[in-house]
Amino acid sequence: MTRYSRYYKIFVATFMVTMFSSCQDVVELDLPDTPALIVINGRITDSASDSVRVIVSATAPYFSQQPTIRVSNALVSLYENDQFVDNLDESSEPGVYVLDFRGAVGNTYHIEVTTMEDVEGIPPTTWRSVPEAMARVFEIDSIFVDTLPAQPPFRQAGAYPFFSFTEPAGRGDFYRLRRWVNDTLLNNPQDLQVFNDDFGDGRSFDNIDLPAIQFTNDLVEPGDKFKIEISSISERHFRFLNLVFQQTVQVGTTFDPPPAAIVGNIQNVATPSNTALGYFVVSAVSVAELQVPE
Amino acid sequence: MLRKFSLLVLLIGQAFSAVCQESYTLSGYIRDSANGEELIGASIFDNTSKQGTVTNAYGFYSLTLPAGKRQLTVSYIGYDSKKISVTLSKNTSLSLNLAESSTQLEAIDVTTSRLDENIKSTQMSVTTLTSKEIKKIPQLLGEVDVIRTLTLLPGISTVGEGANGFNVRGGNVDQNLILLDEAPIYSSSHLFGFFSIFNADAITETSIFKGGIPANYGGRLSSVLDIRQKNGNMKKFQGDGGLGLLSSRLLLEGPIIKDKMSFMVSGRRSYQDVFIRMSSNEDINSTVLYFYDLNAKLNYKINDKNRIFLSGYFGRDVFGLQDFFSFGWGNSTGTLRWNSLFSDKFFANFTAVYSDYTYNVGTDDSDFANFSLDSRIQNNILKGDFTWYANNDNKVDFGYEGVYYRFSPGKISGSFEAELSQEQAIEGALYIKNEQKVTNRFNLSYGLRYSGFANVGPRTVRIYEEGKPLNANTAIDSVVYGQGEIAASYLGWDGFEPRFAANFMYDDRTSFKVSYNRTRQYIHQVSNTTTPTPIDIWRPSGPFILPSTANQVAVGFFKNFKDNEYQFSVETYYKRFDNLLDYKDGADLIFNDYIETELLTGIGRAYGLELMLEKKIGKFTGWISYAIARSERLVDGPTMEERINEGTWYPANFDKLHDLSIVGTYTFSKKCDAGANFAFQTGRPITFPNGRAEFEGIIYPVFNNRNGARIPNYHRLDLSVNYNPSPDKKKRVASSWSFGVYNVYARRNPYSLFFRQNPNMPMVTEAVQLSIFATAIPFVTYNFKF
Repeated sequence: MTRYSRYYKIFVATFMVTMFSSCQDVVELDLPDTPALIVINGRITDSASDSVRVIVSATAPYFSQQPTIRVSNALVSLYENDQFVDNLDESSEPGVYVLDFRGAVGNTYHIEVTTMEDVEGIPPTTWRSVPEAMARVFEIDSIFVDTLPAQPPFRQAGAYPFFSFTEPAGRGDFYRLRRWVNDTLLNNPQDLQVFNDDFGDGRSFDNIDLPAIQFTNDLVEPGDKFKIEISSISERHFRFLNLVFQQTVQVGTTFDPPPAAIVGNIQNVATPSNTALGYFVVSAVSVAELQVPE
Repeated sequence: MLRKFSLLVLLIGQAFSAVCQESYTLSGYIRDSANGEELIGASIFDNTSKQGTVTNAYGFYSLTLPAGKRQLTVSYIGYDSKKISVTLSKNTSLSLNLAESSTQLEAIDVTTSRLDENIKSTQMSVTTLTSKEIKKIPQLLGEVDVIRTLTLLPGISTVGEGANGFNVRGGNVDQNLILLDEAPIYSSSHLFGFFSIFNADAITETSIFKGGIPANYGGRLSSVLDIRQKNGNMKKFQGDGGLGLLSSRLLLEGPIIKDKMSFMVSGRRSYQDVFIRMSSNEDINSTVLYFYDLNAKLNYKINDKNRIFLSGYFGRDVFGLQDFFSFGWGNSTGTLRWNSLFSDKFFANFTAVYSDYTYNVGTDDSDFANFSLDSRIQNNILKGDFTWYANNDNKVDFGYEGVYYRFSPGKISGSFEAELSQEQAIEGALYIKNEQKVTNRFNLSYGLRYSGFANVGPRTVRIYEEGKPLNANTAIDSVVYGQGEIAASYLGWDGFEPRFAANFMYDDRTSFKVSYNRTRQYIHQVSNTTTPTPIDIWRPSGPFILPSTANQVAVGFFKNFKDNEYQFSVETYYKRFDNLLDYKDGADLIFNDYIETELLTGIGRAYGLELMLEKKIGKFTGWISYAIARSERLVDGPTMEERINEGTWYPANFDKLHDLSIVGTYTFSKKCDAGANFAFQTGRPITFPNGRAEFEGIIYPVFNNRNGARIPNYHRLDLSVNYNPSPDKKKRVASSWSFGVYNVYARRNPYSLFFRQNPNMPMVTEAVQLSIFATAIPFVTYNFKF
């Protein structure tokens, strides 16, 4: 239904532009200074080519226009099925912790992060992610280029990239799609693409049962290189990503959802109701690549 | 509760211990002599006995007078008064016609029965406007808009320009009972809220009750907007129409059988799609965008005592992007009413209503991955309203109402098939109220409404672990309810809704009033956006959604000056809401069969002071209104997931501390009048970010203080001129022009203020203000009449 709600937004925007003399102005505001919060993001996958990677940082004032502060010298530990696995090492990039470890579908994983010093007024404390099970992911059957007729104002006639797959039977699967074009990850807020199997459980998106998935709206150029990654995610992470999308993309009209705290799965060990920002993601991944001939 | 009941019994007992003397009842209808339209609130007064009354919503009156010769004065504002002499020796039926005043300039165009009705009536917190009044006020693009005009009154506001619906005394948009010929309307706006669905040509008058809501109304917490359509001219065939920048309209009315049966049919269609297609920009010309309305009414006088009305409304908005995507929504209603005079003291009205609100979103059928989403809410209503004119000091109203609801929140067809569970519900109500003249200076209106509600099968209801937040992880079982089986019911003491109003007149020009009402609401619009959208569904109370209640107390002081030419009022109110719906952060409300997992329950409070000074007579008329008010919400559940703002009070989305309106119209001559209005409002609440965080390179705002800040203040001036050339007697068509400008000084009023990552510089975050009407918007409308 995300696609549907995005269409709705296009309608409202089109209406306002066509009907009235609307305009947008960047304005300067004085926002009050508020205490910083800890932000912990990380991911573990079942891929041999991925390391476990955790970034510990702090929030910054909204108009700071600087990269957020990274937190060094933290103790970051990985647990599998509640059993300690190993500590992550801080890499050469401050606040980034890594461990060469591969997860397995069916197992649950969580991390514990202990900060050792005051960070922007935040005293040392220990945080833990809510354990999440690594869910199954489907294999991508194929990645290919197909031509489409023009559909103004949304689409020019020409070649576009697609992928096909069969969603495994059994409701309750949630997925995220990440895309690279010419080795560059598409990583704007509107690139946060998630879907679930509410309407396509067990169906094939193969141009026979249902249409294959077009994964960019840009025309394919000769020599283009595409990579897509489908990762299984939990329902909680699905909601988290939808919320990040809402709060960064669906803004500007009175038909938008209200601003909301984006709570992830990181809790304080001493006071679980006290949450940090960020998410430790547990995913199985499926990857496909395509090189368009010159 | 027992004490209140005892008081009620005592008052009723006193009311009917009337002294017997030889007297007879005079009853009948008061009508417009030109078109036979009943006049609501017209006055009939016996100069000898100093007794009088006013006509009810159907133009009927009943007045009991001593036998003998009576000198009667019949009057209605804007009409020439009539004096007649009647000798009463038996109960007499007497219907009277009044002619519209020939000295219109000195007259006024309001339908309050008497100029001092605001002083003498127990009713407070009510305003009635006619189409004539509304048409004189400058309007956006010249579209005569009932709801936009209502927002110029104190205590009625919207979130912002183009917002769907309206808010009354701190209530949500879904807390307004909007009735069009007694049929409930679920979406009162066209074009996402820019225009209301009510075609001013087709309606006679609009009344809004903000407080002291009479017992015959129920089902919503905050207000009643009662709109009556024209009955149709009983005397002659005539038409009205207009061509505007946004839409054109045509109304036809006339007798089918003279003085016996009449019709009214009115249509309106916007044509912005025609202009859009002319654009060379493909992004624009591929858009389909229009709305239309159809109002119709048939009015048949069976005999002097029985009358039937059949009326309907059908309206729809249609949007589309070529054959790629389409979107439509609209209301359909049908009302069948039977007015019957059982005796000259007993008036009855039976009504059957069908109301249907639908929306559809879909792609073209030929699309490989086509889909169509349909949602609908249907009502069938049967009600009876009775008025017993017990004596000249007591008028008793009582009645019943039964509503059957059918909610079809969503069905997807096409490449994907899915359907949300349908819900059925029954709402029933009984009421009684008495308007009692205790002394010449002290009047009471008291009543009791009882309402009950049942959510019935077939449907399946989840069971959740007790004491845990409702979510998929705490769902442990489900129960299947068969056809007609009750899944949840609300039939207890909470269903009693007492209503009370008192008026103490200090003198003929000064009064003090107090009112209390309890209201209860069983159906709720599920919307977590700042203003509801046409695709927000309605859901009934049930196992998880509790009925909402509101208790409101209001006190007012009313004073008229210069022979009622000026009217001043000040009212203050306090309102408490219970069981209001709110939503978890990031709630997923679209096509969700377990909507209860996204909902929270909270309480609310609203309080304020409203001032209004109105000039009702003369070449210059208008009003100044000012309201200072607060509306706040509290959601403090047992877990963090079930709290908002950590369980502290926060301002509602439509909380505006100051709201000032100045409205004026000046009639230069019969040919020309001019209007101006100015509005000022405190900016609406908004949530500012407390910081920014990063997720995989995406910067997002950190919010933890809902509605803790405000957008800048809003103000606007509009002007208009209406020109009515002298009708050419050779031509059968009379024409007029309306010109004007909306937002005269082109203020860029903020519509919203939002925060984003700069699309070109990802590390830069910025605040952006969106203004919809960023310039002055002129309009011209051509009107004709034949």
